[in-house]
Amino acid sequence: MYRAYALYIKTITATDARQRWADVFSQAVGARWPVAIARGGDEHGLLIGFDEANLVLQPYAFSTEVFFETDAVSIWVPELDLYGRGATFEEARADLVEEVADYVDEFLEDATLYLRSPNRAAHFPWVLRAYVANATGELTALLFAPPDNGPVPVADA
Amino acid sequence: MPTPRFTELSRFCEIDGWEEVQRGRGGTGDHRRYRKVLADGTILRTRVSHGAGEIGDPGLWARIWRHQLGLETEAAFWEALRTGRPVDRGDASVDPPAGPSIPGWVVAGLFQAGRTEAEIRSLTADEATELLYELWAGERGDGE
Repeated sequence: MYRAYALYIKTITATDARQRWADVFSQAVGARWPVAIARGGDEHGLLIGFDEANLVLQPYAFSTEVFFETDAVSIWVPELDLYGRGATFEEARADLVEEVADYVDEFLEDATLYLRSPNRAAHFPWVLRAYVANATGELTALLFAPPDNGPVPVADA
Repeated sequence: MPTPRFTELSRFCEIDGWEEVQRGRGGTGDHRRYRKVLADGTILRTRVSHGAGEIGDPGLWARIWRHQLGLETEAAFWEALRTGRPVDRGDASVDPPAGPSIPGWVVAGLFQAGRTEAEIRSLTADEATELLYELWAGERGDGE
């Protein structure tokens, strides 16, 4: 049903999307066919599934750096200018994941300000990727994933 | 120069006119978060741990004063603490510093492969990466 619906409409109104929400969601997520939605002529959105979002965001990898101190461990994320810290690597990693999740919340709650900022706007793709990963319980794995052109972990080989 | 204590980082934020940011999910967790918006829209952001510990690693501290505090020199941090006056801040977007660190995916991979933190601490980034490659190759049976 949603396929036929999409064939005839390129952009649908927010009112129409609300009324046909099940079809719209099925098209965007189930059929992987992005849905463009407009409201009032000057507000436009695009509904896509997490899989498609991850595909688009794949180039935005994280390159965390681990610093071993005498009695502590710190982990820096250059893409977001954030760090986690703890007595052990496990503690530092958990602290970093919490810090990234907090920053994602902070960024998206004040997106108008952050997206205008000369040193923050470029964070957006990484923020969005972390947001999707956090929503699916994969944020830790994302932050410590090998580079795409690097070696393959045994479990994935 | 020594690395600062978190109480000094907190005092710097107060002197330099940073605002404390509340967490969206409530509470403060183990840290207080501070933010300062510069005239050009640059947003500086850092956090300070509760308690009296210090930022022990010089490499991490270099990243904090450059990227989070937006300072051109480390001396500007200590100068602000000494004088009690806000920083005359230049461009925050400077080149990232080089430093002795190990990629996070390498450390995570070595832990997953059963290596201890003490072992990993003794390695350089190249040594750690090489060891992980060897472990993965060995477990796959490459070259047999």
